[in-house]
Amino acid sequence: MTTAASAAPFDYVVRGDVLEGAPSPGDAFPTTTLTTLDGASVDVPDADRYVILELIRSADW
Amino acid sequence: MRDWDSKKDSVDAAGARLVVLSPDAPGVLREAIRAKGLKADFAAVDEELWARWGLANPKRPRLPHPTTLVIARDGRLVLRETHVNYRERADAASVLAAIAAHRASGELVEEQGPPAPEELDWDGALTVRAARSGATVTLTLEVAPGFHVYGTKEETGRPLAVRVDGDPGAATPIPEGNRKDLDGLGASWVLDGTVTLAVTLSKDGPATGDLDVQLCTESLCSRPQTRRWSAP
Repeated sequence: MTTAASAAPFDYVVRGDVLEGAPSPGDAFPTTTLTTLDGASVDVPDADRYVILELIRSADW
Repeated sequence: MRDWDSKKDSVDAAGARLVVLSPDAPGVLREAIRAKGLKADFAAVDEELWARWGLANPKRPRLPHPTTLVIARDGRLVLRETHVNYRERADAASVLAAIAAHRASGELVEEQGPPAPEELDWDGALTVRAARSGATVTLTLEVAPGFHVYGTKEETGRPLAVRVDGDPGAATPIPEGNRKDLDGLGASWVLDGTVTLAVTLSKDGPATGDLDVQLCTESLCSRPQTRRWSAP
């Protein structure tokens, strides 16, 4: 369970190149469910953890 | 990817999970992971996903722009870093720092049993007394049990800071704090109990000033605040 607390301001972070149409920090991110290669489901958002998504292409690993 | 792999423990400690999204077929991904000894969780996804998120490379729609996203538990996007140059990437340490800052902001925190946040006596959690002897003012901070403030090595919360009205030359050494590993929040540098600060004045006259301080418990933080002090 989560709750809002007395909050210090947080500056949502956007870095890198400007990209019109990309999701904006501070906004709700579209919900989705991912399936990892080992078959595990990952809900986005995850009620228990932050989710870090790294979008890559194979050539630049 | 090796940057992230080397920080897997830090990702776990930050209360986060990393998933790497690739347009490659599962078999290709598995072979690359095996060959490179990667440890992160991978998901093979199709181009529809990044197109829906507005992150597809318009010149090569099958590929996403290299992007790092952090989504909080309440569904808000905490961080987006996108580079159109495939050679540029978000630095894992800076991403973890953003997560730590978001957690420290208290915008979404775990309830860890009583007392509930609204029952915490934030106003009574800190008292500040000032006493003067010659050119030295002693500030005595009494931090209530269960609360802490921050020393100079703290990088997420607001460390203590002292200002003296009309005396920019006044000096106040602040302790660096004691390292405390907070579950899921990483390390903090805290001060608790009785904290004594010696302010050395460089001018005569009544001494008044401000103390910047942020009070936290192991799971919650108040907004940074400024307390007035006076030592005639």
